[in-house]
Amino acid sequence: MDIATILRTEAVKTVSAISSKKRLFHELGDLAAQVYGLKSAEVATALQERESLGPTGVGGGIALPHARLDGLPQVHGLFIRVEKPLDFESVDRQPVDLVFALLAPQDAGVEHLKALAVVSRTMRDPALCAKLRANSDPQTLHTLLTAQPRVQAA
Amino acid sequence: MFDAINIAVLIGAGLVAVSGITSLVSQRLGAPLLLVFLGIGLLAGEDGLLGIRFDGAGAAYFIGSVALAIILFDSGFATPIRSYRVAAPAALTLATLGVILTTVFMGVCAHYLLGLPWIESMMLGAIVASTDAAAVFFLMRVGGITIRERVKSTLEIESGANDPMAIFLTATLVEFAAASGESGAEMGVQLLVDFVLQIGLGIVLGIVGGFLITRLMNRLEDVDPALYPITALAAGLVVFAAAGLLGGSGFLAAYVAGLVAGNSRIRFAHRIRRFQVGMSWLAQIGMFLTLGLLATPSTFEGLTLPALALAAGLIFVARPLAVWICLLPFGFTSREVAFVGWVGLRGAVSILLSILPTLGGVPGGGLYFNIVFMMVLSSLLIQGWTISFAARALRLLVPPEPGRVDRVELDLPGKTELELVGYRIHPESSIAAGERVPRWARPLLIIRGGKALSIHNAGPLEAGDRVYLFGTPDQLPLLDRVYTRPGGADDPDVIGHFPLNPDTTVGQLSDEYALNASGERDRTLGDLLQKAFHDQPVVGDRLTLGPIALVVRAVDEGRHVTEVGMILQPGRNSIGRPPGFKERLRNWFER
Repeated sequence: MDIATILRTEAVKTVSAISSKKRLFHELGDLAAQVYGLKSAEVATALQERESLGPTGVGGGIALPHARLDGLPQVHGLFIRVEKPLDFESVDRQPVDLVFALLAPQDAGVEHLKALAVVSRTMRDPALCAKLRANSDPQTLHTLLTAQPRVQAA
Repeated sequence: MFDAINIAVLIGAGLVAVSGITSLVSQRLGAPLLLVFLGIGLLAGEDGLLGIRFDGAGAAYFIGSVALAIILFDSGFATPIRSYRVAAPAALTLATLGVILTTVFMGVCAHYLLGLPWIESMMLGAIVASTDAAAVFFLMRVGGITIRERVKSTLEIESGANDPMAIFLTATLVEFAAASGESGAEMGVQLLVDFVLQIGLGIVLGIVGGFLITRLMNRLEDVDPALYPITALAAGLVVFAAAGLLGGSGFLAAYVAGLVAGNSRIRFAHRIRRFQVGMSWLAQIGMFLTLGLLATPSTFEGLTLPALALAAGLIFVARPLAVWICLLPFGFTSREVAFVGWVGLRGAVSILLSILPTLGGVPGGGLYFNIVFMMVLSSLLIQGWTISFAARALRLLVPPEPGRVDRVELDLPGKTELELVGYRIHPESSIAAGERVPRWARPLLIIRGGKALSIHNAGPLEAGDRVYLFGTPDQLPLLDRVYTRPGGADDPDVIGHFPLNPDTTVGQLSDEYALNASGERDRTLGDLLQKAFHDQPVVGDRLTLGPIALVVRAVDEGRHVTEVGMILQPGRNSIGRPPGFKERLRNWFER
């Protein structure tokens, strides 16, 4: 599994500012509705619910919100770069500016975890994050994210 | 006469000074420092550059014993009772049964390899049966590695507690070897009586001594504070000698007394500790130098091969086997057992004990010294040099404490929870990038370019500034994150990919990730980990839960899990829930 199979170009977006975590999830919901035809509110709620188990802000300004949803054909990714970092209650209390969200089908337990591992590994690359922060064009961001060497999903 | 004094001081102090200086070299090269001390002793000795003739086995044993008593008292003093809670049963099994098993295994090796009679073979086994406290303590702290607490505590407690056992066994066997003629049954009975007396008296006198030392220290009111540590150390040595005179194990008494005093509310504890660190160094240098001086490598001829074969037997067979048997009931993973087996460093204690046959009048006593000397050298070289490699290969590292430059525990009156901590601001930290410092993390004092500034006149903090502030122990991890590199030490394979609230229930987690957990759905993750690790969880403890694993990310002072991490795809590195004994046995055979 690699990022290219789960992240469409249209699902990458740059936003200048987002006021709260809640607003971010709605933004992700809207993006998911637009690109993958999902119900915006449903996505936002599912992401918010996952957050109650513990913040998905993994540190270093990166958040990986994720959830499982009914009626998805495969794992879908969404990427938002927020130009003005927002507070996300991350482990390191750093505000977040790179958000990679994952939505997985209800029956894809293992696939979901694999995708999370791949995304998590990709986003831990400081060089990649620096490049992502230096660009705002969605097309470029998508190229950067998918140009990563194929990581082993085993 | 004055010349003689000057020459003795010149040589003695010169060697100690050279040893101290070479510690720098050894840090750069990663060579075990103790090996360097021993090497300097050898170089100065009979076959070395200075050609100093030193044949005083008795004097060497005397210096070594006092040095060892100091080291043991200090290692007890510095061992927090907390690590006993984590590791005592396993460590004490290793220190007792482990020593006996190693003695027996090595005895068998020696009997067949060297063709020595059984008692002498067992004596040789006992000489090399204990791991060296100095070597283990020291080598686990160099190389910038942080080993998982359970493993580290086990090794440290074992290394401190097994010396008295090995000393006892060796001394007894030396007596038997020197005074052959008693029947086996008589020997057995005497051994048992001696054992109970030595160990029992050693422990009891150590505890009593420890309490007395604490009381004494707390009673001394108007004494110059500089005299405290000296008095404490001298009192420790008094306990050592008194226990020995009364028929107990003085070494054990010194260790126990240190343990009791170090864990009591004792005045000027930090001052005493600092002094003891220095004394401990001096003792180690003294001991290794003396033993290096005593050795005469030109007499090793013909013994090299058997000694190396014995060393190999010790490193690759006797120690791992003894460790494996001892740790069987304690739920250690095979990686952890492998590491404990590997870190069986031998050191000065073994060399010291190998003088005993000579002193005790065992025929051909010099042989043991030479063989053991080479075995210890091999152990230091092979095991000492590979500790950090082994820990890395076996994935037993936890993230090091990030970037704290200073942590000063203050003897504050009243509520002593606060600690003064210092940080050097990391260039990649968010603070250096201009982030605002949270109110609870405001520094009291900022040191920039050699000047002390307050937060009011310093302006924004810069990379390289040193900041000092007070914090409670549970604030420290958060402070670390504020002032040091973001995410630098967080390897997800160690602390998890995602944080989870400890009060999340198993059911909630299972539903979120389709884990199909059936039982214990209402149990919280914190509680689950708490129970799985017998209420003594330590950072890094893992529990597999279907396709994911949970890991303890943080515990508070009361050993409650305060942060949980979730590891994706833990794969085969995972360490499961400590299973029942039978299950454990089965797992062993399946591995």
